[in-house]
Amino acid sequence: MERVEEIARLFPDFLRPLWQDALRRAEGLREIRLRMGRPALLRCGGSEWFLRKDGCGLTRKPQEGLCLREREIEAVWNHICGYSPYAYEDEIRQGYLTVPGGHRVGLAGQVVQEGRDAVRTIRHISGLNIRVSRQIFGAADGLLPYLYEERQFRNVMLISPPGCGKTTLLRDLIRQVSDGNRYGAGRTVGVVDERSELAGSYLGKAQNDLGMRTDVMDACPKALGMLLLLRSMSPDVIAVDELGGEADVRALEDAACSGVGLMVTVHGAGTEDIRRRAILQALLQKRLFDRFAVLTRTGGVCRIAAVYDGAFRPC
Amino acid sequence: MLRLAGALLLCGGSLGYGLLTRYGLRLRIRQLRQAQEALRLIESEVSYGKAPLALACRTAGSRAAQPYAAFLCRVYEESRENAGTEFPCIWQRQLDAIRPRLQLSAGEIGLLKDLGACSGYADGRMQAASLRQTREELERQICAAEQESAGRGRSAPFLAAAAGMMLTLLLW
Repeated sequence: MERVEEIARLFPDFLRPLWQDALRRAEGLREIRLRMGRPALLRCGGSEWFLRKDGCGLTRKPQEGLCLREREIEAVWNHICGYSPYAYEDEIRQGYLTVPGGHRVGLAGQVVQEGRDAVRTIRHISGLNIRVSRQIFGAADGLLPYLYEERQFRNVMLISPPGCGKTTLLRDLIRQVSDGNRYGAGRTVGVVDERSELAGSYLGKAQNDLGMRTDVMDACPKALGMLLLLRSMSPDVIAVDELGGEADVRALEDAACSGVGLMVTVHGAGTEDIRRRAILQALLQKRLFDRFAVLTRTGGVCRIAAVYDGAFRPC
Repeated sequence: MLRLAGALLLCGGSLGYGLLTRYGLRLRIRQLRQAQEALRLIESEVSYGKAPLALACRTAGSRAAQPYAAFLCRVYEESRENAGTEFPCIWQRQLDAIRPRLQLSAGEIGLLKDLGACSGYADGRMQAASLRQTREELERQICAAEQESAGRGRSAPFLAAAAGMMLTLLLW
């Protein structure tokens, strides 16, 4: 119910009653997509629903769905950012905004460029994608036994295609490693949360529970964040979501060579995918990771499909 | 004896009215300056702290003079409660709530009210510019109010006292 209220509070008063009712009916809500002149769409688990234009909950038929006009999209956007888009300039440049509760609002609209490659801002917002943040306590329970040897934490890489619960799993893993669990004592975890997805920080405050020994570098580029954490916060383990660029990989190597444990996620369908990625070759050759966990999604349910050791042998 | 008391009351009342008029004119200038200062505080929060408007109102509210402090704190509180009301409506409603305590003219109140609608800029510089523009307009109003105060404010107590004495003589 709390989540329903959090999401409903993203809408201004004239739309809120419609959404409150619909959100109560939307079980397993994952995201809400609002597009100008198109019916408002809700993704729940593996199914799609539309907000009924008569205000009576949800429908499967798009023609019965409520289409949002330009003014309404603008009102929702203004309400989400508290009529202060300038305060979220950096996030808007990245194409999203984190809101109270750790939910993320993705933006589509007209991009104003600065130079060739940089985005100055996004204006004339025409579409919003509200991604519901989920904290599943215990999501990492099945993985934890593989991550400790003689009560020592082993470096782990979580691999999955988008939408298979990597971030949710990493979030719970961070919390359990930080608080301590039956396999090992609590450790200081440093999190570089470049896209504010793990902690779901809103105005600097973490909205999700990442454990009592966790320090978060919010909205900070991964490579820089890892360096800052190493210098100032003495982490035992560093957690990074969606490892990407060369600089990230170099910073990760430095961290590993400093004796810090690693928890990272990468996109990929399986171990074959990451072995083919040139950017990850250095990490794999140096065998910086002791465990590789592959996640899949079947029938709308995310699960750990397999766990491999550092030599890609099944555990 | 009764006549004397009535004469004193009439003269005293007239003088009091004149002094009150002068006080009102001075209070208006003071409140315009306080409004200007409150907007300056919001502007610096927006420009340097990139604070959202509601938070900027909270910070400015803790340092501004009354009744603007109460007004800004209420704007913050209502925005934080998030009942779904749009920011311009909250701003205008809370300004209406302190209106009885303001000595400003309808035009000056309108100027402050319009500021609520000037929100939602994607660029912080634009948001700060709209606040600065209102401050500049308030400066013009202060100049006009000072001129009025210098003229009417100085003569009001004397005129009122003279009028009171004349009325007393007529009624004696």
